[in-house]
Amino acid sequence: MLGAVLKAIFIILYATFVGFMFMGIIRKVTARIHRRIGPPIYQPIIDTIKFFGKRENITHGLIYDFGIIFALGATILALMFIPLGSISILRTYGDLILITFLLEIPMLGIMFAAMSSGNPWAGLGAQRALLTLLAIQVPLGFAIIALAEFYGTFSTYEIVMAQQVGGWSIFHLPLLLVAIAYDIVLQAMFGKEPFDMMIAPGEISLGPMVEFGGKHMGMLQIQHAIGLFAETLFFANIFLGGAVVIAFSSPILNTLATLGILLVKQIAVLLIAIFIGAIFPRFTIDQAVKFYWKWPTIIAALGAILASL
Amino acid sequence: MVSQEEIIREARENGMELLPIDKDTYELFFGPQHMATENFSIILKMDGHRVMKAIANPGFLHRGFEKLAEYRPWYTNIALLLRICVPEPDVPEAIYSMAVDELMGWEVPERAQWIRTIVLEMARVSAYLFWIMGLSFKLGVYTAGQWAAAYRERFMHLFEELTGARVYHIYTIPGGVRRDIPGDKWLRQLRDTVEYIKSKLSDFDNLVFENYIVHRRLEGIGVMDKKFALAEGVTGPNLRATGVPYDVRRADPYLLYPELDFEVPVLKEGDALARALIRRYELEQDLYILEQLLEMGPPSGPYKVKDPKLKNLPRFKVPAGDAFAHVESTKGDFGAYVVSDGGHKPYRVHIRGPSIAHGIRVLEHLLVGARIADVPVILMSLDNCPPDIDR
Repeated sequence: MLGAVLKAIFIILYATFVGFMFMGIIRKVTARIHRRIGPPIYQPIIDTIKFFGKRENITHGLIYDFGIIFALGATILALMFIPLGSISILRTYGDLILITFLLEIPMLGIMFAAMSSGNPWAGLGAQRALLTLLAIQVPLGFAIIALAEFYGTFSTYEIVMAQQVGGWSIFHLPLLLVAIAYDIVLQAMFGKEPFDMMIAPGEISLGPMVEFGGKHMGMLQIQHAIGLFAETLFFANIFLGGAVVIAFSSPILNTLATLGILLVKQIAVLLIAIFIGAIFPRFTIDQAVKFYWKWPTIIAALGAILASL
Repeated sequence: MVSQEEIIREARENGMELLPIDKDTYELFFGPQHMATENFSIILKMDGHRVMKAIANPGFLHRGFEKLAEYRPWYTNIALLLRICVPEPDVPEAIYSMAVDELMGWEVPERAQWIRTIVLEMARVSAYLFWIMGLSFKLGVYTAGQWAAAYRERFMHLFEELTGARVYHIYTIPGGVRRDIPGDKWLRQLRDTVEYIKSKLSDFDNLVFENYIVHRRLEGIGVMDKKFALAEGVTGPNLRATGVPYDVRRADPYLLYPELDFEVPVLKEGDALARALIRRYELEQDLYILEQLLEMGPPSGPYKVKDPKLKNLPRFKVPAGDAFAHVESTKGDFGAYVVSDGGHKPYRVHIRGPSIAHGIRVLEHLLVGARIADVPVILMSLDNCPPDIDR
């Protein structure tokens, strides 16, 4: 029991730290694409500390506070189900549908909070976020079907183990198609450029985020960091083979190697998202919904059909 | 249960008027703190995500130049009037100076004309780069924006060497320019910069002007037809995007433009995409004009007129009369109407900013029926410059 609690605390701390580093990497790499120097890689941590140091904290009532905590809690819960090598505590229960569902809950939590602020810009952002959420369900559904058909299981951990034997998912044609569709979906989940309609700084002035400040924004930063970590980790697990290292005799060395391999895969996923985000303008929300119901859906459906043959 | 009348009565007693609320629409204040508008606001009456009615709400930048200019001597006014147009401050300087030249009956030396032309063209290129930055920030392709800002910075550096200031260079004065060209090194640097930016235009094409998503975003929104544009007094690239080949540099040539070879791009569609592409083509033409000017080289001679009247500048007097001068800026036809009563201060200086035509009524017309995401894009495709409107 105590061991599980310690493990959970370790996972949360590790995910928060690495997630903040990911946010720093996003800013740094984007700056380099812009031919700027960019902030130091630990800048998001400083930002978050500053947010928590604010004296004034505007609140709009219970739901406004609760929505943020709801979002943060859902992200942490999703993280617990995703196998982090060998140290995840709930990995045996972590099936694809549950994790996909839990990764979308934070958006709802932020929407709760944003809508309760009564700001029209936040309302517009919430509308857009919910539409995006609706749009990505279709390709996501096909992706889950294809994975389940191919491996004969919903369990993420079993999929990781199966990839240890049969090679990474993306080396099989049906799952490669699914991985492409999922990567397009990931762009919306990260809130990166072609599909960042719900934030859209130049259009609806940050959308849901327009009302948050101080500690609420700090909590959202932590949520965003853990979310980035969880989403990249999930992608690395189901498509890039995860990591199960048993080469060393010492369990600590094995764990460290696992974390290292996963980190490399996660950064690879992140870099693709950054590169796409840097060179594409933003869609409008109706174009994005049409796009999601067209290309990623077709690709993912093709993958699902090929996987079931 | 309290009845409606009682609520209204109680509200009135406490000084709160309950206004009738339209239940089908909501109002968005697209205000000056919004990242898409620059010191300008639009009140949008929204029906879902479509704009039902838009009311442009300028005036946040009204600094009262027209009145202030009456209290300043002729030469001091330049330092004041150039603040009318923030992205290209050389234009108000140039038109004011041209109008005063006309009043004085001065023949501006050739070298000064050459310098004025090159400064105006440099201002045009840097304003277009600034506009690319604005458009890409509104579209979310920040890379193109950062690059454009960085290239503009090269021109700012050149301006700094020429005039001493980055943006508000009080440089063009009645009767010529304030300082001579620093030397051949500066001309070489300018040539290098022009060539460099020319080679980088394809990057902007890839990121913005030939990008699939940009075309999807800009095509068919904010369509303005020729008749409407002419009736509203729209000028500049916005008018040329509707199919009217009107350019002040061709229609009413000034400075060295008659000797230069350049094309005036015209498109017929009149939508936001056409307006964006026109500006892209003009950027190329302006770089070409700069190349030609550099090829010509500065003619030798003085850089400002020699007139004994210029000995005592605060008491400098301009003969009575009035004059109008206008140039083609990136926003459109920028004009100055200067009236002199023979004193050492202008009787009146009226600046006609081009944004007054396309920034208020045209904008209100084009926004009707647009999606909320199109509002900043249409605003940017018109290249609205709030200080022009407010003055």
